[in-house]
Amino acid sequence: MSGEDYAIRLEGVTKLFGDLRAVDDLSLGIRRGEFFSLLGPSGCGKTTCLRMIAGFEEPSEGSIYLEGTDVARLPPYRRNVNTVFQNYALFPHLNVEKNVAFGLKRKKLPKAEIDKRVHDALQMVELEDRGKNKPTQLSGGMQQRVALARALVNLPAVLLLDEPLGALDLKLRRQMQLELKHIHESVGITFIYVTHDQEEALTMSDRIAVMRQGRVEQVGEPEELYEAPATRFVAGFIGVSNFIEGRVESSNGMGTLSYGENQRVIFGRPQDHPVGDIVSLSVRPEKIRLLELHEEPPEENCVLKGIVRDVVYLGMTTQYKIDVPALHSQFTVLEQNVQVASDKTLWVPGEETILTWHPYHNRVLPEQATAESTEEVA
Amino acid sequence: MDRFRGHSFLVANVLLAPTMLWLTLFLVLPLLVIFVYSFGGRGAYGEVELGFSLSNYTKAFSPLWLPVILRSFAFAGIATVLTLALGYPLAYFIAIYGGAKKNIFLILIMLPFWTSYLIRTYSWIVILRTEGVINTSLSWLGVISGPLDLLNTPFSVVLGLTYGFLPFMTLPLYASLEKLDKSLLEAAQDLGANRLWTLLRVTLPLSLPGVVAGTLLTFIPAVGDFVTPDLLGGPDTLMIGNVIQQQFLSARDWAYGSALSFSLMAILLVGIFLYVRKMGSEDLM
Repeated sequence: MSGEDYAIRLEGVTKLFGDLRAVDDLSLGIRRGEFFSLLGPSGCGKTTCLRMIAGFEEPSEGSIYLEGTDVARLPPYRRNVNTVFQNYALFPHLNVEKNVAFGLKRKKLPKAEIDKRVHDALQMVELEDRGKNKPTQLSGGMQQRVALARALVNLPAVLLLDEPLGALDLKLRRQMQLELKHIHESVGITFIYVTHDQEEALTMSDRIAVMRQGRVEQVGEPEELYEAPATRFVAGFIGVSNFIEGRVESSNGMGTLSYGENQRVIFGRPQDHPVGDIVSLSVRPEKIRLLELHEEPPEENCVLKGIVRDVVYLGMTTQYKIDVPALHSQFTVLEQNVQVASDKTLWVPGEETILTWHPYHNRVLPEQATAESTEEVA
Repeated sequence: MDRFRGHSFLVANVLLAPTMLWLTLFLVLPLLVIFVYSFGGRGAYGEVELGFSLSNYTKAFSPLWLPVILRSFAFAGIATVLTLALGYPLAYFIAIYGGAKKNIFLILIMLPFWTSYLIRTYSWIVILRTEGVINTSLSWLGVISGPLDLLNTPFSVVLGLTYGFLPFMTLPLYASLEKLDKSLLEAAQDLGANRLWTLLRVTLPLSLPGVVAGTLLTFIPAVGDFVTPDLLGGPDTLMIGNVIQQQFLSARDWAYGSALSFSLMAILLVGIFLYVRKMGSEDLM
């Protein structure tokens, strides 16, 4: 891909606040027209990253290319990007129309054109009858939409959104997620979206960069991040993962970790992990099936014994916490509630069970310091 | 909120009582006395003879005092504009860039209050007079051949007023700029506004309540001031405050002085009302 296909390209960007490396040698390309999310826990540098693209912070090192031009040292008002702020930052002394017209008036466009574009922008966010209201007279959701209209009316090359839905309640947030996605599709502008909410990022994004401690852990499409997390952190941050660590015992075609009689974990790509190596795997809760002790798991499957600890019935699914003595750890297992009432529907705490899944679902994770396991986010 | 509502009447009265009592005794009653006096006349020995005559008011609005009133408003107006011009950047700097040192800057602004206004005004005499600091320095440097007439001029009076009232302008400005949401400044820049445009379109309008409060706190006492023109002024700097002071002290015509005071108050009230309406800050009234 050539440089011109990127709306934004960060190259070796570092931001120091005193001794703190908020963003650490970060390189990233965001494609034109893409809905791109920066996802990570608070303090991971995602907002600093966005603020450097907007121009509110200057990188300590590195370059930021906007449509091929390095803008890293330009002030915000000389960049063709607009921001939707977390607290909306609507001008309280101006009514909705004047808020939306602010950027256009600065560009000294003809009044008729300003009026038309303001009207169209307000129509897009379904607030055309609220133009004369002051921002304080609107609900949080409406203020959010004014902020969006105020940014988009300028037709920026890139729209930056800093956790814009953070202040809204859950239902309104879901609705705004879909609306934002819809607006993104209709305007065709590149969106860069900062959030700590993995579900939000998965719902809306074309691609996601998972950030941690100022660095990008993995960039990929939502499905890719979920199904093939590259690191233990990503596996734990996006959705829930069960982690398995062990010494490879045999490796003929498939690598095998054994845990006594009839307990085994099998994984692919054993060529990278010869016998004797420590290997770290992750498997998603919904990939695991629970069997009665007398049932026979398929020959090629991973098999572990467990004791049910917690049962949370969620309607569509049931979530189990299951102790796995062989690994000295607890697994999370999610079962679809597809059985009919006459069948055994739920496991009860204390019951012994067999966990089994196809080796295909195991992800081999790169070796990392084990201290990170404490940072798992459920 | 509702929890407090039941008690609010009693609580409000208890809280307000001391101030109300104070204001009644030392503001409302004296004003009433002066109001009654203003319709009276001067006795042979300078005592007030009560009565009902409008002659004091017709004298108060006579063309004789028109230049004095105009001069008072001009001096106070220029001083207000100057304090605004000096105070706004100062308040802006402290509010936006003050950081952890904000309180130190604020104490520095209030520091002059630790000395009497009289002494501070006298010190300007030392600076401005013919053999003063400025004239001796300038002639030593060879910039001027003879001393400049700085003291006892309109210049020195406006200077004194500006100096004296600068904190009254700066503090309300600071209070409104401090409250300003800094993300609004970022939003303005994000929408293409450079620093000047941001100042004119966002910062200034949002700090307008501070500008209104500061200009009122400066202009009103400046119009009626008599100490500054007395100490720093000369023959052509007579202000209305001096005239009122003369009536009460040297002329001993309290009735006339009262009428002058009330006339000034009336003019100021109308002016303030129009000003605040124009600035769109009805919530101040």
